[in-house]
Amino acid sequence: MSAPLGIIVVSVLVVYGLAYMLYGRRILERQIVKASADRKTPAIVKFDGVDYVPANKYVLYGHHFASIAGAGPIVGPAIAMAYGWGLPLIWVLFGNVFIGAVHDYLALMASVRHGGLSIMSVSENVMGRKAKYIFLIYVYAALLLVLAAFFSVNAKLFTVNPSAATKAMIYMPAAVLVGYLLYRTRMTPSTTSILAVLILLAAIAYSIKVPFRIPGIGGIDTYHTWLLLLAAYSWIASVLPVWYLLQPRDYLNAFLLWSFVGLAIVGSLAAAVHGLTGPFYTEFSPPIFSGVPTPFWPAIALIIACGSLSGFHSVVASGTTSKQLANELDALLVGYGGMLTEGAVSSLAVIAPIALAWNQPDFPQLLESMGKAKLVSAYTQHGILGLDKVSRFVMGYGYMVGKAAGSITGVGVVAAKFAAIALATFILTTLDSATRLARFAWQEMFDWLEERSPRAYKAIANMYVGGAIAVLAGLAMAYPNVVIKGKELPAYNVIWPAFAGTNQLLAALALLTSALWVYAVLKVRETRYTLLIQTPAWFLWITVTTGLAWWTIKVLPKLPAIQKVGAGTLVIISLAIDLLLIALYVTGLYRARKERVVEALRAT
Amino acid sequence: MFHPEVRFMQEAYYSPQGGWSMAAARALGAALTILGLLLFAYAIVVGASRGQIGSQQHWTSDAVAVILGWFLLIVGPALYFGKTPARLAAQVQASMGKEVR
Repeated sequence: MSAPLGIIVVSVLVVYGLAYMLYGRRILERQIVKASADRKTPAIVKFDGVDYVPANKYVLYGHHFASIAGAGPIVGPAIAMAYGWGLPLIWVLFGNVFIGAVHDYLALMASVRHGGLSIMSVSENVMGRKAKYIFLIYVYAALLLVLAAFFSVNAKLFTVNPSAATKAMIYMPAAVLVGYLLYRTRMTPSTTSILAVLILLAAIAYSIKVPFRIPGIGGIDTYHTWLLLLAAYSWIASVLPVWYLLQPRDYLNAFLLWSFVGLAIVGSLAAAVHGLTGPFYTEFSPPIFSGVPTPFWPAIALIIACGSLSGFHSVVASGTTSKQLANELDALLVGYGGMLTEGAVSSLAVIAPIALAWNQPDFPQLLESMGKAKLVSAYTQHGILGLDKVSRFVMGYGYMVGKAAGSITGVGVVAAKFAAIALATFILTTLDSATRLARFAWQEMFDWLEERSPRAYKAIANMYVGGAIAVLAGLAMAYPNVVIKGKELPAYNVIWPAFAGTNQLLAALALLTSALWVYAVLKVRETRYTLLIQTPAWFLWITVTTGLAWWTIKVLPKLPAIQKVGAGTLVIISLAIDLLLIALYVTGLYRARKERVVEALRAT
Repeated sequence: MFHPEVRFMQEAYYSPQGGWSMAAARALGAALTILGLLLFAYAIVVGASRGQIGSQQHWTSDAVAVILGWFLLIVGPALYFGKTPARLAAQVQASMGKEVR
């Protein structure tokens, strides 16, 4: 007999609730960080009206969640379903509670206690100046790669799904309007919220009915025209004050994203009695990467990123989020809660629906109603694994909600379209946040110049130049095409296969940095608390480093020659930087222990 | 060893020190916003009547209008309002006693 869906839903909700209250609030917030409403945050102390601006905690929660949630929490778990639903779910829950949420919260708070500087700059305080610049260069390069990928994915999305382009066109001016209503009128927040929801619904309804299509311009095709338009938008958005576009946009986003998660929870609870047709476990090494048998450990860290844990989150937390935190006590909801919410997307909106819809006799009705009748034979033969990763998620989500409502071809179709819109929103919002983050990293990389030559610093590190360099570098990797396996693909694909590993390596290094900050700067005395952070940090570092080594030996040789060179070089550079930073980390840890012994001796 | 200060280029933002006159920036911002609203509204209405904005084959006036309107509506109000909203400024002033432009 198959397990009922309710088991997953109730387990996930209980785990997240307990983790938030017991680990997040009691241990991290009260015992380790000792967050206080009386301590002024950088958003207040360094207020500049552009980047350092206090935000309402729910708006900031929306910003943080929308920025950290790219396609990762959806695509990764959808791929990992090849292991069955049990192992990916366990990895998501374990990763969320003990690694991802801790990593995000500590990166946020370490940044807040360091004047809003990035986790890379925080490393200077515990690992020395060299670590800071090595870390900054590493993260800056990763951000440029993220930018290239998101330029490309958005441009492709707007080309093949013109309704997504309409929504983006309406969404940004609507966000400016909501910002005006929020900050410059006497309208109450509840009235503004009602208006925002109405605007959002109208924008979605209009964009579904009225797609926006463009031809190419000046001899270039539609995709490349969109790339140029998105690059211009990203640059403008990255230099505008956060209160003007970013905060109100994320205020709007929060409604959409909460509806998406809320519908997944309600839908899965309503369909709780239905049995999961997917297996708990299939095999330990199904063929996932380039057809190579992919062992669950250590490869899972490279497959499921954002849904469980991700290095990019520490850059967001210590980049845009820390500069907008109005009160230290808001950080738990934003940092820890934001990660758990993203985990809920993976577990309740991706893993649970796919496990439910794995092999259902009425599932083909949904495919036909969505105009995907050609997928029916693949589904009949291979179950849901016969669909591509995005269709697994969109159709699985639609099926679960439709099943709960008793209307697969009616409500199910609407829910599936809603899931596709939510995915598009996740992708677009990450784009301009990543541009702003790359600008921050650029500015921090040149802080040494500020005292030596203020004029040169102003010329190189001002926000317009910093934003433009990031956009141009991203564009340089997204615009030209290269031929890979006979297909023309954007140039960033040459190195993209290495991204998962470099991003997760960043997570391990950021968590280790935060762990050292807890030990050396916060001087947390209780060994059980320091071990609670150090142990998962080391476990992650070992997992990711082993995973990258496995990937280099087993998967890299299967890639086309151009990717072997590009991605291979990137992985080798990443591993070298990894080892260098670990050496600096160990030195920092040794120094901190020595200081602690001296302090203890003085005290006696 | 640690330098917590990273200054952003706020002085270059809409201020007289940045070489811009606030009044001129406001006037330009208002003009761009109104133009943006007109272009955007035109494209939305035409799109609703035709069932789509623009075309895959050739550039149409509504497609050009929505793109121009989009950029103008993002940039125009920013130039017009320029200064930090009073509500935010008051929040920071209350916390810090710091004067905010």
